[in-house]
Amino acid sequence: MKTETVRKILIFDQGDPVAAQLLGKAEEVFGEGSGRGLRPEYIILRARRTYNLALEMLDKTIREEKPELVLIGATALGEEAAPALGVRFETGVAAHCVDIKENEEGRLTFVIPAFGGRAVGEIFIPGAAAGKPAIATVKPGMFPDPAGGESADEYVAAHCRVIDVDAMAEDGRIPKGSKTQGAFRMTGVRPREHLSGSITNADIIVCGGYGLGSEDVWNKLKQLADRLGGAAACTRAALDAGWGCAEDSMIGTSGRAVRPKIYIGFGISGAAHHTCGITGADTIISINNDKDAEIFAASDYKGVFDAEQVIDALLGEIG
Amino acid sequence: MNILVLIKPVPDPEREKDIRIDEASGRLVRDGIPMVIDPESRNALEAALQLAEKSGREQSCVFALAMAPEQAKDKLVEALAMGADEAYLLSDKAFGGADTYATSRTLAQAVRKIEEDKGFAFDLILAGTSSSDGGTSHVAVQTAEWLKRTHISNVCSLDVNGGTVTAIKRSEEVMLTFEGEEPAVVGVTRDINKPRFVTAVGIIKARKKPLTIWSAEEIGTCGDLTGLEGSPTKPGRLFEPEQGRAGEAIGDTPEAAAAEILQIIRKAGL
Repeated sequence: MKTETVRKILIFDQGDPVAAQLLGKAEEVFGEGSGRGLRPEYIILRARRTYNLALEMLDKTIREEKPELVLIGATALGEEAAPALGVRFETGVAAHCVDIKENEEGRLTFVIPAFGGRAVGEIFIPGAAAGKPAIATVKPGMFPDPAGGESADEYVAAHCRVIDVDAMAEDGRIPKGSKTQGAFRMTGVRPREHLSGSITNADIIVCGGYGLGSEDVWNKLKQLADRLGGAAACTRAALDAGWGCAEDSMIGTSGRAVRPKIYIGFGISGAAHHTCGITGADTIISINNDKDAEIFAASDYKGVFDAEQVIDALLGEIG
Repeated sequence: MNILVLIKPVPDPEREKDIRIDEASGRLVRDGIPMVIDPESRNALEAALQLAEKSGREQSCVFALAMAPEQAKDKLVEALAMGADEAYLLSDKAFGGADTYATSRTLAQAVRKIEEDKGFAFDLILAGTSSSDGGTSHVAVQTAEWLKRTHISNVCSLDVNGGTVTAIKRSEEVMLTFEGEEPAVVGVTRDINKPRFVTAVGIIKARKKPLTIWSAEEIGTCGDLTGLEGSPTKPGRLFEPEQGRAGEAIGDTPEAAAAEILQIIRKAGL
């Protein structure tokens, strides 16, 4: 008789909050409350300071543990590790998932953006049922931080088995000079210049689109974000306009996903590749002088006004 | 220096709005939307041309390779007009429906064939990191894995000196410097350069440059290794993202709207 085993889920922890977000999502899909038969076992592979070992250790861990699902944050490192592992394990990789769920037939389903977010599509990785891992990447902020008062590390400690590559490298269990086959070696790190206030943890985000029209208005928008105690963000089009928007404050498929309490968008048309990055916001307010702007369909509140006039009025009100 | 650039023809990103999902078939309708070279593929080609110029244009070659329906041939002519020396188009019904795994496998197979035919190996393969349509950031890395070459993607600055490739990429908080050895595969981002324009002289020259079209059989692959059949991911339903918010109008004047916005912020306890 076939005995039921646990289902193993490997989560890659690169030292940002995304590992806890992935764990929270996995728990939602596979955990006790999900009604699935198999008990999940979460394995965290932690490589927060050992960038050059990460791909090799992911490779080794998948070989040894044979997880059914591998979840990786779509960060600078994760975006490169996931597809490499896909080829090595002859399996599919679902990129930038906006959802992971069980469909009506009970199949594990990955929902991914297509055509720059114009559409979303479901994909399946059937080989996962035949002993190959399914691999999925998720942008930081796409799923919420797990609920409850626990910090991310405590949450992980309580729910997972941790393979700590950093500790293994430090105490010599991984020989010095080891490196990852296939990937470039990291040889230097320096802080980013002009790093804006992080949009990832901001309660209020004031976001500007191409409709702002000029660098002057963008600067006013930044001032407004400051006054409100929030962070300024931009769309791809605003970034490309060259007004000095910071690249790491770009929201959307090619930027970040955010979950602020309040999002206020100015002069944003609402192309899906932007709006798919703000679906997690509690409240969305949009100001655009085009009454047919697509952004209004994705907004809780809308104002058909010139962006600059409303920004000026807000700055005036706040004083 | 011998460089190969992977070129991806995509539906014009400026016309994304016009793409619709056909309710009945569940397929994307992109009739009338012209194909263009993916923006980051252009950056990759520009980076290749600059590296070739730096190391001596006459002693270098820059080839372009794409997998696309035969109608996309003019995109490779455009790549030749920008300055590539030769172009290869992989075109076959068998390639249809390929995911990134099958696509990269097919591209890698073509790379092997070009290298065999020409009797040299590419020092560098360049590609865009993230295309405007699929945007997975997979294909550069996966092509490298099939060829067992070193890889890096999301590169915003690139240099090659004596066989060592130095690349910079931005992570979320820091700038990271990397080194790798040739032969390497590098995925670039659009910050790396400003692609040159096609000139009239370029277009005239392009007509005389070799453009080879290969089928699956000609590169030595077949149905179950490529296209939908060779893809470990299988597509399901396609739908428009749900918006589902009320869109309640605020204020009659900019001033009234501003007051209401502040009220909403206060109500949220901020």
